Amino acid sequence: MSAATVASPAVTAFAAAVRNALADLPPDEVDDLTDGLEADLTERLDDVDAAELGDPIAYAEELRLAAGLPMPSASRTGRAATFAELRRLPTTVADELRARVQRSPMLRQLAAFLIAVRPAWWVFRALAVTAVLMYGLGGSPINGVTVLFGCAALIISVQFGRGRWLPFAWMRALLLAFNVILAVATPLVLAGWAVQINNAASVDSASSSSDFSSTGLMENGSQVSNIFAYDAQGHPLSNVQLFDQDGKPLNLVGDPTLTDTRTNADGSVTVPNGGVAGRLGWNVYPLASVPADAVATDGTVNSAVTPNTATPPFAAARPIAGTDPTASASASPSAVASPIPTLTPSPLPTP
Amino acid sequence: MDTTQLLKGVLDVAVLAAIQDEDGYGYDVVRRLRTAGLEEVGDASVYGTLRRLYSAGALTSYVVPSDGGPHRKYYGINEQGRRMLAEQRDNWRAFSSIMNGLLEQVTAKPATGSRTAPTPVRLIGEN
Repeated sequence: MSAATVASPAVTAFAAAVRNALADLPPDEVDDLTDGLEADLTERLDDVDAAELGDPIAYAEELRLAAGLPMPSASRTGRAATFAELRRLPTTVADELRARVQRSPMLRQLAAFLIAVRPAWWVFRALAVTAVLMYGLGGSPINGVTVLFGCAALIISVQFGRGRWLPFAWMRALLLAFNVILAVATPLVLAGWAVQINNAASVDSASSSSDFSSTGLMENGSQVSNIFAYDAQGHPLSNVQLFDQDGKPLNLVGDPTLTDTRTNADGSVTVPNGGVAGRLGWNVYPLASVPADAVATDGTVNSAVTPNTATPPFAAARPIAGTDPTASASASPSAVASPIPTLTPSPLPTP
Repeated sequence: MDTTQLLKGVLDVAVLAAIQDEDGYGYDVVRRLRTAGLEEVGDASVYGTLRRLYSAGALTSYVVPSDGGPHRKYYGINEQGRRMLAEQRDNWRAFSSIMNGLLEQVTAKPATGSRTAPTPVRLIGEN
């Protein structure tokens, strides 16, 4: 016979739970029935490898039954009886479910399958806890600590799954509650992610398409880098302000703050018309250009450098038939009378 | 066959037999029964049985304190317990010989058991 050892906290708690479950019996009876229980439990834990104490309620019932004592529901009344029944409810429900599953071959197959995939759930459970922890720490990256935590969670989860390391009934109840919460929360979280990912994808495509459309003006697949206007008599015009159908300045260079978009093939850099404040004169054509070295890296143009006027493709265009050869373009302000009220004619210097 | 069901009916005599030569405390008795081959015997069932036999006057009981650990409650058989054991032993022998005879008879002539009733097939949703 092995020497008696000090009862572990688990044993003490288990014995207390057993006595509590027998509390409806006379105290003397309980004492007689559970005298030496701690010693027996301690020895049993020492004796059997990886032994578990199990459910103290079931243990108490077995004890009571074997001792020929009345069952609690017969003797308990009121709240105590309800409480005892509530505590037994999970067991009762589980027994009933098990019996039903056993009666149907299809459910038996399903149950066998689910039991087979349980380890996957154990692993997922550990990963979920680790992910929640990492998220809780402000989305901390995968590092030694989180990997270590993940491994620990994995081991604990698997041991729990195998029914180990759960000395108390309340731990099982807690684990069950956790499982239920995780099983309910997982689809919700996944659905949330799916929505987020879809939104991100649509935002990406929207922004990229708007980027694409804003990069200047295309004609037959090639970039339009400058516009030359001629009046009715075929004379080249300067300082022509162009707007689109919405009244927005017609801008060929896309993002005016980027030098890349307005660098020409010969290395010169197109600049906005200096007569419009705030470097916004991108819609005054033809656009002038400066040598590349006149532009600083932040896009500002050296004010000492005089922009070079763009050379028109033709010295003169064909006059339009049926127009007064004496009239000049600037002499018809009514034609410029724009429907856009924000348009304020600004004095533009002739280059 | 589920031996735990069989065990319920004979646990009294098994416990009495386990302590007829030497007193024992709860887990000690469990261990003796398991060593004897009753692997499925439940701890609490044995403790409850000990308690019931004690209440019925078949056992004596005494507590042995242990240094540093929880005390142990020993049970020993008394005269009434021995009478109970002898009586139940006879009962068991008579019962087991009847059962043996019955089971031998069945296995001895399996060929004549030609009336192999078809196994009733229970369909899903029948109950």
